[in-house]
Amino acid sequence: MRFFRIIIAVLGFLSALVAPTWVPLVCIVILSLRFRAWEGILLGVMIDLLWLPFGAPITFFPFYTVASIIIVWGLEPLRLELLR
Amino acid sequence: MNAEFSHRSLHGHPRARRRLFIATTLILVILAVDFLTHGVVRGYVRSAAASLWVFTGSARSSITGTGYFSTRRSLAAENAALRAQLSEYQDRATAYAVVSEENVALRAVLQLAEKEKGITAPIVSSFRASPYGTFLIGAGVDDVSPGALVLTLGRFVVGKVTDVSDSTSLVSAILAPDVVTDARIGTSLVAVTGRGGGNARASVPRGVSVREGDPVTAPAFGGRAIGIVGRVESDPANADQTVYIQLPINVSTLKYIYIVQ
Repeated sequence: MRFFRIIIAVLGFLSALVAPTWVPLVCIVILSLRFRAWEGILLGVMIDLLWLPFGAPITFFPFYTVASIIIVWGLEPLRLELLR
Repeated sequence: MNAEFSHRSLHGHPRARRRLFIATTLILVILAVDFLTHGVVRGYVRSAAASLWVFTGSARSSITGTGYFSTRRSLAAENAALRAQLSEYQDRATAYAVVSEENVALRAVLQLAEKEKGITAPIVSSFRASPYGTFLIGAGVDDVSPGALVLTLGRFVVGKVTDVSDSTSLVSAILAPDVVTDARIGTSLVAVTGRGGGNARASVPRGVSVREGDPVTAPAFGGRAIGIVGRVESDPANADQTVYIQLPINVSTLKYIYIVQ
């Protein structure tokens, strides 16, 4: 399972550089469904730091950071059900 | 046993949960530090990403250069080269038309053309990976400044430099999804809405004559061209006609761009 987690995380980080935007998002969701994936949040913040122009968060909203935090923490109950 | 199982089921392992909480806090701290230092952290992230992009590009070339995929590779390479060449010719031909039209306009108002000073820089990221319609170029703070216009070699505006770091800069694409730019098509001033990938759409009154290949210029960028009309859809039941705009060159084949200083 740890191998699976690493593979998905590496895929997510690489796809943030080269793949269409939905691929890293799918990786975050897959990681969050099975693990307490702090790397999902790291992936989200990396996408924002990489691609989002610098500016006030109201103008340049860090969508991927916020979405990854919501996904990782929001999927906690569902993940616990799956892990039961 | 039951009580312990219930506790774990409802709240998970406390240590793992605490780890996730600490990681979330740390990441928010990184964001805060980046904001307070005016984007220093993202500068490092972008430099690392640009290096990785260049490195993977050469690694890819090395792997395909071994000859294992020679037949398929050579066909694919030939196909890509021909497409790129065709795009380049279209870009140049349209650029010529744009320049001619611009010259006529300039002569008409007796103004002199302003010489553009700038530099050529490589594109060091993918066009499709950014969710915000941005891409990275290999020119840093010594070469470019925020707000500089980014052109194709055929002099079409593709974007504007928004962030500058030591060795890379972030460019926001003009035709990124949902980005609205005021533009001129023929004699009509319209709002062009980007759709990504060098494409855009605009609504023009049906009475206005618009033909495929007409240049689309933006007064905000000094009257420079941002694309050409690719297709016109007109419905007799509608007062407006939909104009599809495109860059004459495939943006994913772009390797170098020109930055106006």
